[in-house]
Amino acid sequence: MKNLDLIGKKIWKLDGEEGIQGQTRYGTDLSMSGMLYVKAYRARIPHGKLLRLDVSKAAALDGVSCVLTAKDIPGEKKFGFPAGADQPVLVEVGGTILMKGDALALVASPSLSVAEKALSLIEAEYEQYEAIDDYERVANDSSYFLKNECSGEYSYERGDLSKGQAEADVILEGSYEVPIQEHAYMETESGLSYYDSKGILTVESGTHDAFYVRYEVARCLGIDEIKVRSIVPLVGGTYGGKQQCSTQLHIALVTQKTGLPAKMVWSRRESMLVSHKRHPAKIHMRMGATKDGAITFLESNYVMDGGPYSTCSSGVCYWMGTHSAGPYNIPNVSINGKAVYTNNTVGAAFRGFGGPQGVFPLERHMDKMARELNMDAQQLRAKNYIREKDQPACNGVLIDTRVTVGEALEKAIEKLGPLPQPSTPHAKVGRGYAVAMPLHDVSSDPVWGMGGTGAHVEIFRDGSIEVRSGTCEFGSGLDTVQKLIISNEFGVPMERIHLITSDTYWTPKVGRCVGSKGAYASGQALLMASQELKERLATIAAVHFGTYPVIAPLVFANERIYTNQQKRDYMTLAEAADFAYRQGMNLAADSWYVNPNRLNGNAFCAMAADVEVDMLSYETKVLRCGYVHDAGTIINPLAAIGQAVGGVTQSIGYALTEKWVIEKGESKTLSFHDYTIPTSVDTPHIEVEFIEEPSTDGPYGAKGLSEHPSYVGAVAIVNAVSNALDTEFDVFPLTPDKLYTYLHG
Amino acid sequence: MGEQYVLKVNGKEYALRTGGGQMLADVLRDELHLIGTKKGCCQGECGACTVILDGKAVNSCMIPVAKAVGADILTIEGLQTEDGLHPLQKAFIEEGAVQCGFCTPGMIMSAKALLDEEANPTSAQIQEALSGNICRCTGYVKIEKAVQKASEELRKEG
Repeated sequence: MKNLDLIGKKIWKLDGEEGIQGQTRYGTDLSMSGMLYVKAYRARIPHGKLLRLDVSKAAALDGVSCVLTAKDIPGEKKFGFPAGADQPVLVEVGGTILMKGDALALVASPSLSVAEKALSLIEAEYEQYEAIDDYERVANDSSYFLKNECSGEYSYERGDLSKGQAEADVILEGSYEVPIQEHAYMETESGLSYYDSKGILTVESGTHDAFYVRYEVARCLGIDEIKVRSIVPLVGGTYGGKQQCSTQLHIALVTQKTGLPAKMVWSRRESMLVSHKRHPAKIHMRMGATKDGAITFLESNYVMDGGPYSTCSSGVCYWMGTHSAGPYNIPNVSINGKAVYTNNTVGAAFRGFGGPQGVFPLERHMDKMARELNMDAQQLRAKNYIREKDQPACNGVLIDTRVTVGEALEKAIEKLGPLPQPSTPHAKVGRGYAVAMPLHDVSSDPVWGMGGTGAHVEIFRDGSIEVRSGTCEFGSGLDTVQKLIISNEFGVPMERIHLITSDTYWTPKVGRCVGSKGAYASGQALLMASQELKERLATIAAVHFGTYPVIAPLVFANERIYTNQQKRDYMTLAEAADFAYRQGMNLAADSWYVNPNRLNGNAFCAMAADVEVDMLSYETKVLRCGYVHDAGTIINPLAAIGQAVGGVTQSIGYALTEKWVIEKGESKTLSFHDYTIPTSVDTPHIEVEFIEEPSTDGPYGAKGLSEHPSYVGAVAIVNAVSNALDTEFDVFPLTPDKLYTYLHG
Repeated sequence: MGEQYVLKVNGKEYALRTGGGQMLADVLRDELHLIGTKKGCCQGECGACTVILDGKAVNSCMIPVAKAVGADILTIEGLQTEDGLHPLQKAFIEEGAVQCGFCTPGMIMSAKALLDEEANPTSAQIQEALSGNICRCTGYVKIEKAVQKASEELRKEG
């Protein structure tokens, strides 16, 4: 039976203690003797042909170990997933540069300053082409394109749009624009590569999936995957941004060429220039409703800017589409979207993976429709929520638990109390809210299709437990959750559990740690392996208690196996393990979890926010937020609340301050001075509550958790500003200059 | 070989030679292997490299090492005593103020400099003191709580 002694209790983060002493080693902190520093020479133009690349002066510089160009790549010269490898590892002479910052050459030296100096000696000549930067035009003008195809497409039809239009008393149209967002993880991209004592090329780097890195490195180096080991140290933030290869292929090439350890750390400017971003998108939406607020149809057409490389644009475009109709039961729906190629920044995964782009226009439109109908916006939403056993439009994921979206919104609004008075005569206040039904990804794997997740659990003769899991820890507390689950299952304290993660040598493969599924998929895999091992130990205990072959339900607690709940007769886990060992039994269990559904929904969430806008400075301050989320059973509340508050804060930046400027393929906001991330003084009071409606298939009933605040955060705030100023804002971030322009032209 | 100089870090004196134009953060990390001081931007914008220099929180990525000679430098590694973790360190763990942890050392050093000057800071003072430290994961709420908790703890200890 399940022992839930630990689940749901606040447990401190396990790696926290090392971190606060400064001992934790991230990729940027790794070093080895004899190590070379690697720097990349990058394209200075966003679009053009590389005519000439002269690296001779750099190669001749004293202290330079090697300079590599595309012709030095022994294997595949392009990388990227899942649509296909289309991003050059290094652009070759005669090849086309598609993005400012494309890597052209690598320089390696034992001295960082020599490597930097060598970069300045490289000469490149280009034939510059016009930057294809207007993604809306690419979508609509067949004579204007970068590649004659789309990087993503989505199409969904349900019911009959003309019937929905005929039934509507009011039809409302609107155009919306969602901006780029930069991940801005505090640790930039980094990595160290080296040959281990057995001649295996080892790469340690921040990523979402050690196995994906192994795959790409082997391809690029032209060697078998068995000759590559990939390890993920603690990652200093990613939020989806470190999914693709960054430093890994470059350092591996240098190590392969020189035999020496190689380290690369991107500068902040380099990271902001080259790293992938949240896709911007433009949306045109039409919605019809009856006088009493029943939505009769929804039509949405959108285009996203995926930049020059496909990465996961197909997935993000799909995800945007699947969230375009929200948690509403709309009978007639038509959604069509595409992602196109341009010379702008590469669009890829960022917390929410297209979902926030789908929710923004819908939840803005719901507010506007409510005004049009002269109806309360909460009431309009409530009238149209899906119900249990419905299959919502766009994603069709069966609603198999209680529908908690209305409850979530009510609670989120309640948390705010009455709307405060403006703090000055020249300020205006307003309230806004939004709801969503984010899907989360329980089994997909963008490289190999359906993704399974493995786990290995082994009990030692002294009763301590070793766990091997392929998942990565990048701040969400997944290591803690995994140990918690094992501790809970076996009744063994956390300090007697050793967790090995994200090392392709030792850990089973996982379907990458994305889509809010880390705890979900690994949790299930761990439960499966634990169950198998416990059954074996229970057999031993039954022999011990003299009941064998009858194995009654046993209780695992306090490092003992008890015969019953009263906890009188027991044998210790160590005794059972030792006995099993001497009997020749396998003390390890391996599991493989795969969920044929791939997607899971039902994790409803809502946010409400109060804002104040200063009408002299046009600055907006979020006063307070209420965020309520049905994440199923909460395994570790301390970490769960942290994810919620962190996600809301990223949304505040997205909504109000994080303005990415790019003109003709040239990004202008390449520092934290120019790209404004919220700091402690921008943080409002944020109240979080979880509704714990258990899922039907998550570990202990858990659902996805981490990405969900991003779906509702920004649009709730933009709705609040729209209400405060009685003006419909259909673009953001609402920086003071944008507010001023919007209001005064 | 450059000129020899002495750097006083966490109560210990280190004899070093200048490499010319080095920043304090690089010397701490590369020469003294005190990797708890992180580098997030090298532009003085993110605060990950914050150390305490003669009682003031500074961005060590912007301080030429020559300017730090003769000063008392405290890094995250110097915070712990024989009695165990500093109350700030304990509070950060207990309040869940750590997620990826990359900003944490710098955040704690900014908080330490504040609490050394103001034993009982207001919420606004804490927010102001931490406003030069970016955290992209936690959203600051728990960090502020942790600082409050540590300040209570320190006052109790007297």
